[in-house]
Amino acid sequence: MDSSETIANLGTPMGVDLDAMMRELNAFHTATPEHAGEIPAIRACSCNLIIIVSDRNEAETLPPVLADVAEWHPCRSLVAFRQPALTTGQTPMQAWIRVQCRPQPGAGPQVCSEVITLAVSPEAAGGLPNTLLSFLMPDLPVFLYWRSAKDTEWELVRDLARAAGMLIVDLQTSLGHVGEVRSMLPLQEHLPQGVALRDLSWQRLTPWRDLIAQFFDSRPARSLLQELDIVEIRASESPGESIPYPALLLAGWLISSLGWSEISAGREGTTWISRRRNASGEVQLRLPVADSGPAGVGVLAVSLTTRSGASFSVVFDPESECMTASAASAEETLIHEVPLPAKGEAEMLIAELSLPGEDTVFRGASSAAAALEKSFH
Amino acid sequence: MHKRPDRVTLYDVSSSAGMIKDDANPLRHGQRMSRSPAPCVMVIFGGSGDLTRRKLVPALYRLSQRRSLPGGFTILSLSRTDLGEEKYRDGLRRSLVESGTTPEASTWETFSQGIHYLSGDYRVPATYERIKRALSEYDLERGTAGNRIFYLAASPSDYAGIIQNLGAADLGWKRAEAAGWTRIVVEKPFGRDLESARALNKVVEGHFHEDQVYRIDHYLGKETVQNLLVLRFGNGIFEPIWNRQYVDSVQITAAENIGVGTRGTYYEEAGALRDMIQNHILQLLTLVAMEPPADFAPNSVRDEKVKVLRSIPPPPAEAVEQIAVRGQYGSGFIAGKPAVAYRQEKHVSPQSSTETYAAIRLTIDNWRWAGVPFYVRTGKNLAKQATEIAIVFRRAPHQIFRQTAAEEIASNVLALRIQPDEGIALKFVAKQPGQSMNFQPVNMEFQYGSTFGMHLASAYERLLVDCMVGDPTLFNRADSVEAAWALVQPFVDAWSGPGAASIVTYASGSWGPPEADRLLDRERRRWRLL
Repeated sequence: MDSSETIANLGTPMGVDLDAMMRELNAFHTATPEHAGEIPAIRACSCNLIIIVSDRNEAETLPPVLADVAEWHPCRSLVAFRQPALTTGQTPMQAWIRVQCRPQPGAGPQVCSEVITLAVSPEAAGGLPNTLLSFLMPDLPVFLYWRSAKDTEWELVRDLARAAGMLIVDLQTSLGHVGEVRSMLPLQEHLPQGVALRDLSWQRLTPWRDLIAQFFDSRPARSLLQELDIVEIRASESPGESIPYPALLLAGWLISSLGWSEISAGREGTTWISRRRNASGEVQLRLPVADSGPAGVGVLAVSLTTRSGASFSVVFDPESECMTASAASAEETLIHEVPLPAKGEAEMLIAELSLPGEDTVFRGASSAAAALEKSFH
Repeated sequence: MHKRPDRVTLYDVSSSAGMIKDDANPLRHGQRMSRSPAPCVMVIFGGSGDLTRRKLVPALYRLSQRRSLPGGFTILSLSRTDLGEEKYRDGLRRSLVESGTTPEASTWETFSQGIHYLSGDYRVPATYERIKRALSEYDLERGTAGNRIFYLAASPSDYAGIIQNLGAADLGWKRAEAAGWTRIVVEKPFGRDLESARALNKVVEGHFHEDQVYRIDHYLGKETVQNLLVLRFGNGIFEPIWNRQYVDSVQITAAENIGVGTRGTYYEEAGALRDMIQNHILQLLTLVAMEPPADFAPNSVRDEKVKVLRSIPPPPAEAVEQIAVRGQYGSGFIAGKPAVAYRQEKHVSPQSSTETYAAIRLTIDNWRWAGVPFYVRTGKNLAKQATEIAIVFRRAPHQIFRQTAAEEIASNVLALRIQPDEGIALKFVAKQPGQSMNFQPVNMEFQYGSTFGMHLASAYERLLVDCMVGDPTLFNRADSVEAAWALVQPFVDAWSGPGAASIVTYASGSWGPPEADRLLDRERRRWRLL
């Protein structure tokens, strides 16, 4: 967060009173600077962002992320979590407001966005969806970010999704909570009609998809896609999963994009192998079980070989944060090195909010990944 | 091994334009198109000039600050002035500060490492051999991979010579088949009349393919101008009423509240017609009036724009005085401060007849716009700085409020504010609260500042990246430039010939000469008061 940002915590946690809170916010936004030199502030809002988190600790890590998101997508953020420890005598729902203002370049006014945090006792959890809906800025897009992705919050998320145009999850980081990939992959099928599902893990795969696609951009190379013989995707360990989720998703993308139908699936030693059929024969899709290396990094290497002997690979070196793409044929080897710096949560959210609507390629990849995972069990 | 780039750069080296064009690769389907350009060198002719210091380098620096420039991006500035590289960089740094950007030490260090300076005469072939050598070095040292942008920010009279010399040195289309891509950006003015524009296009065609040529009009890079396309074609409610049945007239205003300043020499040659109307204002007009393109591909949009220009009949010589007004600012007060007359400005002839104000009534002879006047005006030293497109709608066909005090109901106006206060306002009438049936025009407002909050990127930032990624949508094509010149040529002839009527003077700080008001008065319309 910029050191020159102003943050106003408007009051301490209090029982939820929508009118009082809106009055408080309006008073803040309409207040004129009291002292000479103070920069006036304007309220900006182009969307609503609801974030479901596990607990207060997680909620408290969010303001810097939301401040960065608000710079690109000024929004009213609503952060909600269950708090079993609300004591007797306290209201079952508590809320507090935070206003984050960021100066603009030049002499313009500060641009302010607000974050409303709601803590709810387990008994009152059923009322949370409607309470959150009452806090939305009217007639603006609603994005729902299920940050914690815990099974126990599914009902709440499903209810809120009805009002949202998009549900954002990060399965790569949250799968540890649920233990099984298969319970999360068909998420799209359980969402109300018209709600786009986005997964930050998919965004992390964008550079991989770009580099792999790049091998086949030129017309002569395009035909090699039909000649693929073996594709191997290696990924780092994912907590609780024998098949790392990012590898599964990338495999799902290849399957759905290239239309590979299933022949058989199984495990040979430490590698999951799916035999697939493409236009010219059989493709072996290999997903080695991650057994060493850094955990949680995601995809580490992809190699593709063709029946005619051409080979392509993309390898990520976590230490230098660089990807090396190599294309080798009988005549020559081309090497292309590009950096892959880790993206922050805010940067990824900004990218997702910038692209409204359903990502049909992700949907196809996600469904194919779910089917692939199922075929191994 | 090339230097490590500092961000992911994804590009198709197999395409001469450097763009991923072929969507037949099934793995490209649905990929989020990265606007990450490939590493390249930008060779700026006119490296010590005003445009480079005030616009180009600040825009490039801000792109660097936002990590939107490719790794290894290199600037090679050329100018006749004999400056050392360090001195040149220091000068640019000072210009950045003057333009309101305080460079961050680390960003500036990285950015400035890629800035090189070469002093030389553009007319001498040896200069181009030096450029070639420098470019080869950058390819090796900075990984620019043969990708070049030649940016003509020099004096327009040098353009043809530079282009010919680039061609003669095999830096034009002849090297297009080699590794990397080559593009050339040509700043306005592109010619000073139809004949010179055609001649310059001929020179360009001789050395560059049309898809390598980026004729820049920075107005098209403004967010609000691009938003015009989104407003029209991204919303369902406007297009059905965007025609002669519902639109009474269109007004396009580009007003400045400053004079020519230090640009007297240039302005004496240009005038408001060449400086603003032939390019910026006609471009805005084409975006307002064009038919929906089949898609957003560069040539689909540009085809529709040029059709508009060709549908505007150039007036016969004798009609110019009836549909156009030109003026020159006299002394006066702008916002309470005294302002000198144009003829008293530096580098301006005391007998100058150059117009600093022009207002023209145009019509578009096509099915959509037949009978709808398009009034355009531009001027310097006017009351305010304001660029706006106003769509004035026809009044309601039947006035049921005729017996009330509200007989004269204002027209609905959709005003697209290009600058300042970028946004859109829809004017409609509302009943004033109270017993009487009194109406009042009110505005429904959208403002970029309070909706999105963010600082809008400068037009140059957008267009420079467009050029680097090979997207010419917002640049002018040869046919469009010539069509625009063909349209303004009768005005050029009428205002510059020996029989030209004397120019009228308007007071600085006013909204232009009264003759411009009369242009609309006789059609029972008025200029919008901005």
